[in-house]
Amino acid sequence: MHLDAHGFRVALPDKWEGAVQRGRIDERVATRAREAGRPVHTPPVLHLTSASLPEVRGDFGSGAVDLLGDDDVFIALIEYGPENLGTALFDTGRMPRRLSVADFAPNGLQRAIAGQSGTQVFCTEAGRALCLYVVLGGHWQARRLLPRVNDALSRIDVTPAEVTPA
Amino acid sequence: MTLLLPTDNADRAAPLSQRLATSAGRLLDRRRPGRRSFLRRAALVATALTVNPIDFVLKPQSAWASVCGPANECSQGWTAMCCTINAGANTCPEGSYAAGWWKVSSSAFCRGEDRYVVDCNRTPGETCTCHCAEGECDRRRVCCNNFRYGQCNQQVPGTTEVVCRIVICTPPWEWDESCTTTVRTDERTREHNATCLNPPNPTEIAVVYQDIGLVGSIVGAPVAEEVEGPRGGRWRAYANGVITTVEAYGLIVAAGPAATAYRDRGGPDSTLGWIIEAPVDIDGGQRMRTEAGMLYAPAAGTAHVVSGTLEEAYQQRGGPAGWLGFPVTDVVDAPGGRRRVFFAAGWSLAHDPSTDEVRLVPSDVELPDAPGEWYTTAPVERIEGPDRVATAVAVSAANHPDGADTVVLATAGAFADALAGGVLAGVRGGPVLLTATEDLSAATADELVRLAPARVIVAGGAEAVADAVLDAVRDRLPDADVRRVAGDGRFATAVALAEEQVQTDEEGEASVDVVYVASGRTFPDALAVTPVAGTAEAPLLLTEPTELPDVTGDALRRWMPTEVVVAGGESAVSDDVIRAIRRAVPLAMVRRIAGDGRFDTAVEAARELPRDLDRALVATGDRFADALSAGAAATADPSWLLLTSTDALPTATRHAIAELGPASLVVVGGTAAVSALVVEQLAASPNEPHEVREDPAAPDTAEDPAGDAAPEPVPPPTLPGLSGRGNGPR
Repeated sequence: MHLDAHGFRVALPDKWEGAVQRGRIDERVATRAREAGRPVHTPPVLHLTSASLPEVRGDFGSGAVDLLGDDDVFIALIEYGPENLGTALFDTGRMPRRLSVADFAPNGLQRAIAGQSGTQVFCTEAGRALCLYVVLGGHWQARRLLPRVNDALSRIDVTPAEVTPA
Repeated sequence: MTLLLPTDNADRAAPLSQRLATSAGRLLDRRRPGRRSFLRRAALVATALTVNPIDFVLKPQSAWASVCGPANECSQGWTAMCCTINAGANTCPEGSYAAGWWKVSSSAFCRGEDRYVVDCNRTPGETCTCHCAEGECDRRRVCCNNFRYGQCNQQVPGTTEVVCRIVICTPPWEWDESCTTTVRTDERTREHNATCLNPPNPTEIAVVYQDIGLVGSIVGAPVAEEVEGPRGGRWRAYANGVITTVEAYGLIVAAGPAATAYRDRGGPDSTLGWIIEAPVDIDGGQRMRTEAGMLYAPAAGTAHVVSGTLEEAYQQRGGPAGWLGFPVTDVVDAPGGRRRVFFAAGWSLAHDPSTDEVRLVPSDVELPDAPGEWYTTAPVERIEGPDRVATAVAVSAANHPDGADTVVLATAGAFADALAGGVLAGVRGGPVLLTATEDLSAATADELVRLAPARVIVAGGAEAVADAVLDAVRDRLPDADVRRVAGDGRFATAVALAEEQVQTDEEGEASVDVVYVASGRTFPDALAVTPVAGTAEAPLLLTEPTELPDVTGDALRRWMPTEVVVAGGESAVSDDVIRAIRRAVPLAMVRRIAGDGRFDTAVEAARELPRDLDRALVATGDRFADALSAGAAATADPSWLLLTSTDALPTATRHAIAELGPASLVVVGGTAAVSALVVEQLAASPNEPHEVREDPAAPDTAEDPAGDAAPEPVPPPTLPGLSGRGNGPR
């Protein structure tokens, strides 16, 4: 299965699920921001998981990470608006395609879930400010899960995309 | 910083602090309730049934979750709310910063609008230990989750632990400018809450109060419940201000001295009505517009309201930042149906509705009873030139339009010779003109030609006025007697100039009844007594402040006057000098003309002059430059000579104007010497005796400016009764 949306192209590994979604913002808020010269951006988020993706999930995987078994992994590639480009947080190079066990820690999660571990990398690729967030369902077998993670990462192609303000 | 321990299994790879927190969370979940926690849980059940009966009965959940919302236990992995761990403040605690945010759509906690959660992450370099919060409804994790949303403060690279979460209903980029507008969403956190945060369906005031930081906001902790006000509005009082909302003016957060004064007066239920605009910081305090007028509040002291025409007049004079300072009363009723407000500077503004006229009035002056009737004032004229030389020329031109027989010419660079020559010039009916030391100043040269004097007396030695200047005068006035009168130094020059006016009898003996003596080191006292001495045709000698110069003592012994008048108090001319004078002229009466400072001394000197004069000259007592020509002018055309500070009319001088009653006031010098403000104050000063009232700004002042004729002071009037969305992340 292939995903190709909003400048994210992925050939999903077997039995993986994936989706690209964009956020929404209240139109009144968007109008006010536009009038103030700071347009709101709702750039896309790429979610990949070896488990299943619930319909309602947070950008950093709330809901999805709850469904991970010990053998599962969850990957989120979150884009940020152009106003974030060039900042110290994002100006760290391209998105990594290879992670190591040392990159993961049980406290590297948005929400700590027993047994899980995570890592987060802010980066810039194809002129897009991105945050890669990866969760391992069972940290105890991180060495076994890492090849699956790196295989999935290698399948992600980020192409330049024009971010449209909300 | 957290410590990493050696690991022997995967779980041990976590920092010690995180593992401790996880263990603590498990303990919290599993512990058996003690009596105290049992009571608390019992209370929660009752609350749950009250606030959420259907959900609590029908859904399998704990009472805890029903009241507190979901995922509030440490073991459930989420980060605690900041208000739970930050003494109730919905702000980032010390050592943390806003690092990112997410949105929950259409939240009941935000009256149906989007709700935003802002993460406060540990500031790099700061210390923070992972633990569980101990809130009644929030035992979530603190400083545990190493994670960042990333839209705020992106100048800070990397990721640190989330210390806690702020909840707001304002878009984060409006709440904190460091936050960008990239929207990230997590609808699954929709019900996250804490008891220190608003419950669902909060009031508009509660929403804003939470957004600006709750007890950590500029208004501080609430001191009363939110209540309804007039016209359907609502308001709530806080430790440092109020939040008000009413349809006409919207929601206003008011903090600071003006806001607390508003609160203490009763808020919108008082005569102040609703706040129209949030407070504005001004020099030394705040101002805040209310329906009753502008509320002015000094940083320390009482706030007062000024409204309508008087407020406009006050603003035209610069408001609190102007010379009037803060009001010391509200607008109060005054005689004649007028309205009046008093200020810290000792002045007031009065509005007469019968004529719609606003006048500046000294605070200690009571107004007449009849509407439209004011006390009289003297017209004020200013005589000035662009510099001290030109001012002396202008004074000369004004006082001697038809020329003069004698002119005293002195250096513009020092005051002693010009002062000593001032009496002589006045007695001879001429002016004092000034010149540069080396060259005859052009304006002075022209004035000399216009005056066409028969005699020009150059005061002082060649170091003060060079011979070349005398030559230049002679060139322009070939028929005049131009000569130098000088001694060895200022004291001897003063004696030499005095000798010029001393009458001698047939045997050549000097005949001097009165001699005036003033300090030769400062100018105000000598200037002030010049017209007094001149009117009496008495010499003015100079002295050291603490020692009578030999040349001055010798002159006294030579003349043996019957009276010696010393200008100034002990600090200007010491008692040692008085004793030396008494030894020199043992038969003379020696007395002082002195007041409490230079301005009062000038008033005392003016009182020595006849009471039937028409005008008073007003010169600066701060610097001599423009004042030097005033003494001679006040002598040649007999006038009172009063002194003023450059920037404010001294009370003593103002009272003297009321006492002496000049028909006109002539300011000598430009605005650098006597400011436009002083002219305004002179123009507003009564030139007749008036009823006195107590100045509310100086209730302890015991002065009785109008003397014996003044009635008892009336009692003071009976008086009626900062901003922004919050302090954001730290």
